[in-house]
Amino acid sequence: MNKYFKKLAIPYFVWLYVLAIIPFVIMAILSFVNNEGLNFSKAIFTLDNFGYLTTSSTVIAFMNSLFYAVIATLTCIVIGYMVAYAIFRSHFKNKFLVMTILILPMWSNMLLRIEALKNIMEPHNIITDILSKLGIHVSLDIAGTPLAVIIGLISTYIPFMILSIYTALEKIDYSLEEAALDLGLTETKKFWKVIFPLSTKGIVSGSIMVFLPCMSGFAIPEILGQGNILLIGNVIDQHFRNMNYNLGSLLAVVILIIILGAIFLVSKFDKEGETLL
Amino acid sequence: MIKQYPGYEQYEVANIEDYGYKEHRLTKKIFKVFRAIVIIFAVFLMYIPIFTIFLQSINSSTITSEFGQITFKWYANIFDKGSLLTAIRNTVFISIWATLISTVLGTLFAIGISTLERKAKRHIMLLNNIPLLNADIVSGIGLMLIFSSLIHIFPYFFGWRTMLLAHIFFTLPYVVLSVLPKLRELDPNLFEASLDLGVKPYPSLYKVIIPAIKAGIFSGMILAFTMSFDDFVISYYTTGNGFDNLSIWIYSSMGRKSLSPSVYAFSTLVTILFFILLIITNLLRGRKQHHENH
Amino acid sequence: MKTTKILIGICFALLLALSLVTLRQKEALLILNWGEYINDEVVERFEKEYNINVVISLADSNELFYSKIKSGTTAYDLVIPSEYMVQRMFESGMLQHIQKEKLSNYHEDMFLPGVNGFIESMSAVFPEYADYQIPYFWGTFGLMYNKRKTGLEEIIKEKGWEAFFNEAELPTGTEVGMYNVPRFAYAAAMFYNHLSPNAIPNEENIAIAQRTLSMRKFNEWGTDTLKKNIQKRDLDLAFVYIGDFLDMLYQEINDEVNPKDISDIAYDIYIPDETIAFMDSFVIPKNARHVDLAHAFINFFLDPQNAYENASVVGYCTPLVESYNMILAGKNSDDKYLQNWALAIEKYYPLPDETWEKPYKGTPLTNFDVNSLTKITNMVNNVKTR
Repeated sequence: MNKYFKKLAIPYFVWLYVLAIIPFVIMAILSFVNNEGLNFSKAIFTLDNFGYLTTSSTVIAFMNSLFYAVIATLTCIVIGYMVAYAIFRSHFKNKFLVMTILILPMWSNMLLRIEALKNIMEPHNIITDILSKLGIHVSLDIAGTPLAVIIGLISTYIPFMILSIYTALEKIDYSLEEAALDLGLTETKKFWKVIFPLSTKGIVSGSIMVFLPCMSGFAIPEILGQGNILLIGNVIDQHFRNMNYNLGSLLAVVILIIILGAIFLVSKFDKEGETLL
Repeated sequence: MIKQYPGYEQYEVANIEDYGYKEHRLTKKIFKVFRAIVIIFAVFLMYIPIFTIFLQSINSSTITSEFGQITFKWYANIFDKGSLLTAIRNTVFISIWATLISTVLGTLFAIGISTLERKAKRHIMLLNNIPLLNADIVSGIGLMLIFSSLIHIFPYFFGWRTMLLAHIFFTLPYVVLSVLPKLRELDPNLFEASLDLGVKPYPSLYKVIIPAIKAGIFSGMILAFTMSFDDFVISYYTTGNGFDNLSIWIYSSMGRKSLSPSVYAFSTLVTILFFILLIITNLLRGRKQHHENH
Repeated sequence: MKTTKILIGICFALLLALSLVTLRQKEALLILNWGEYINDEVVERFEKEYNINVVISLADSNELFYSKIKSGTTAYDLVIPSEYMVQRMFESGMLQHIQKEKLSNYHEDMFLPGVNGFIESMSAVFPEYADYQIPYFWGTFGLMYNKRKTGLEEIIKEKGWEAFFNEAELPTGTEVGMYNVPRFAYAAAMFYNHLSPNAIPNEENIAIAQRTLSMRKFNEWGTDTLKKNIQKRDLDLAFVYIGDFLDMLYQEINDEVNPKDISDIAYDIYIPDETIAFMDSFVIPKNARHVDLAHAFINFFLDPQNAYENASVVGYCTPLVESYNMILAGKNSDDKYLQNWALAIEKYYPLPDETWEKPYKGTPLTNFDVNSLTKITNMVNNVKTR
């Protein structure tokens, strides 16, 4: 098979170099100059942009991103594992169907979902209105708090975690489980010694798919944090909006380097480099 | 049963601990309840926004916090609003074509990648991860930079062409990543055998390899569609000449005026449509398997 | 198997049909506008009359307008930025002169005195202003408040900015929101200190603004969410566009099931003497491809009847005298909505009288360069993360 299809990979190399590497290089250049928008004619070399990296708000925003992403990812692992495992162990005839129905919400617009989530986190909303007409008076007032942002992150990205853990569980050979039971392991021991280690790949890829968008996104903290919670994605977005492409690029490049470092670590961990998904 | 045995009371009953095991029944029970709560909570978290959107779509009042009466007028209104309808059409157009193209190309690329040596493979996989892991705004602006270098040659380049290219760009990695593991599981002899039987390489690719990796292609396709259908940031920066998709429409409409409830209606419709599609494909698949079994 | 093939065939046919419809590229007039800031019916009439497609793209900030034009990805024929962005676009050489001889509906005294006054003061700092734009909608910012919160209305009317920033002045538990655009927050802080909103953000002014904005914790930094939350009673006071308030008001007086009277509305807006004034206007970018049609479009919206209909959807006040009078004439109509609309416009867009210093309220913003904006953004971020 090797000799025939090798050429098939070449266009993809070209494609990725043009569309993924060149923009990165341009951004790296942008972070060392001072110019207007994307007009390089009046560009002056400067290191001033780096000064903003250490301003307190940028540092706090970065720490916030890290903090929220870690919390959200850990929670997603726990909840996602339980859900995926429950489906995996369930007696449904068509588990794939159950799985897809479970992640169906992923297919409606994310912005709308977050808006809706924000609405119900406020004291007055459509659900409390209906309930109060029925004589039940309950309300929630968490919009604008860190809790709201974390709930939003989990609600949005948990389908990715469930999906990848479930895929990993599905691949486990049933004969391994039988062997474990034959060798006298209890159900709990079997889980920790056989199933869990074999599904770590799913956890790793799920974690990456949850962690990175949590880290770089800006819509969820903006809407659910009611503008009071600042993540690094918001700061990048603000600078691009103000047309400060230099500072925006610098922050983006820094984030990208961190992410690439993470990928590098992951590819060390998994020699084939196919961990994701 | 045991109780019927005479003299039963005289003997000590062995506990599970006596065999060297620990008694876990209570912890297990607590854990089971806890797990059930967590699962219900997770489903609740995922579905509550959808449910709220549904309620807002049948609410006669335009005030999102008050429920007037049940109405279906917003569903009829979807098709009145010219710009919304165009946005919906554009979204469907882009996401379907992007999904189809990236599924076909991604599968071919993945086959190509699977034949590479280890070092080259690692190299391309690292590149492959960039679009997947980049912050959307960075990808969007980067693509805009690249595409705008072509604008002097094709003045009307921006629009569906650039948006489609951008969507293919960020959906391809998902397909590649879904197909590759299946290729690894593939028996290499399968392909050799078909060659030995006198089938040319490319026809045998289609006849032998593709059917074997079907599941991977399918899940890649689903992921690609999900990503493409919902994308806002990258689309926003790479579009032009008035070609807006639904996410752009929604985001910009949130700006100064409140959203028209027709958007909620459309969102609910989409959810229902996907639900029905899922059931139908499953029924069809079930029937097919049933046929094959007999 | 056969049915599957037929199904796939049908799907492909549908997809092809969809593609043909989507890609049918007609020559089109490209407009970049704010969301829901135009009456689609009036646009449709224009399309019929001139037999051209009008495609409206949307953006949600002036800066985005600028970068969309600057990037050159689309050759827009018409854009509707606010005054300071008009200045910035002009200074970057992105705009072309509006040829008034092509506008048959245009005449010298067609605008409200406030609009003329606004153009005059803009022209003092930016002499070309009058030649490069035609007013579309205008207004001010104000302090929108919840009438149900006891004591709030009185204190806001009495003390204005003083009360807005001082938690001690407000009734206990008043939830306050700030507009989440750093430039507007900076302007608010400057008003509190009786400085100009256009004061250069040097170290001293940044420090003043940061101190002022840190005086209280804002419950929400939002944009369109502020008005909705005041209506929902989840917020009591916020600095917003007057159009945000009018939007909510119109929604309630126009509600199909339960239309309200203007006097029944549970919230109101107070316009302090020192506030931001703004005017969004039509401008034509230099690289526009349909210059004549763009002029025709502007002309179409200078027609009093069209402007009247357009204003009925948008919420802000029309700049045209004739359309303004048409709205006020609604007071004598039987239609409850028209009555309420007239009352609202009369109350919130009053004509100037001799007690006014200048014919409009507030101060227009001037253009700040990127570095100043970055400083302001950074200052607001510091306030949020303190």
